Amino acid sequence: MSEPTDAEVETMLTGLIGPIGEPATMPVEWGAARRMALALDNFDPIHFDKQAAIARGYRGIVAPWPLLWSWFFNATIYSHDFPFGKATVHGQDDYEFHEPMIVGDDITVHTAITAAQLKQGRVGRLGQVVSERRFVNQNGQLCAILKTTLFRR
Amino acid sequence: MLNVETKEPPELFFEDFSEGQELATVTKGPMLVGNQVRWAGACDNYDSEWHHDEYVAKAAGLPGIILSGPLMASYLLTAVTTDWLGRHARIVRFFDQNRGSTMPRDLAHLKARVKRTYEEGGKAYVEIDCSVVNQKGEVTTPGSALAILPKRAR
Repeated sequence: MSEPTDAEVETMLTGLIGPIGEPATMPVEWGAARRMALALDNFDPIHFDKQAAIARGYRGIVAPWPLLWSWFFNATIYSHDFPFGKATVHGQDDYEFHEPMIVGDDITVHTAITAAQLKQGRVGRLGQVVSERRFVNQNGQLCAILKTTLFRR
Repeated sequence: MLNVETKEPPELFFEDFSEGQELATVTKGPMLVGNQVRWAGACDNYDSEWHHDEYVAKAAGLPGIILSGPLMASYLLTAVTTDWLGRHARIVRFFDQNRGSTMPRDLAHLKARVKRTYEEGGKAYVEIDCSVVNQKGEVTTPGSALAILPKRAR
């Protein structure tokens, strides 16, 4: 089967843009915050001790920001095929941080494909797809935005 | 606190940083499959078997087990507060690229340099360039971070 034309690929990529699934909500669990901190050798007491966190001005035990990846992997399950190329690479991540995520919060993630385009790279066609996840707490406060870029070669 | 020996990050202020300043290198490793396993557990994600099993990784055409890109970037993100900018830093932006692989037994030197310090809208910002560099001197994960820091009381 022959590879699709550039125009066909561009049409396919453009069609990916838009929301993915329904918003999904998961609680910030104490054990999850602790496990993430330990996995990264992060021994800052704000991730383990409520009184220490309050003393530093937080509402409670603070989730390490990399815990966003737990929502990334679990809250929105989706996949899409590329009709061209051989390999998909997780290229880069761009984070914005706002309101800290505190143990006991309910975090809702809204997921969308926000950009998708075809470029001509050094070794041929390069597809670029950006997915964006917005993390909002139970009070409607924006906690973080994570933009992940996949490259298809 | 279930037997964790915690450590307060250093207390640092906006005035402690200047453009071009090299920040202390933090070395992780040798990295082990166990680091990847702990990351998978912390993310509750075990889908990518090539991150854990050498046979599967090689069957997929990889040279061996590859540690997760977001894991390596998360070491950088963590070091921003635990080591470089201190306990009062409020990170507002972070960026990273997965440019090279980290494999078991590699070292991960976390390096950072102050790119810019500035004040805007009544807030004091420190921007750093940071990266993971392996034992061969190859930059595997370049990145950057922007944080708000308090100023010393006068």
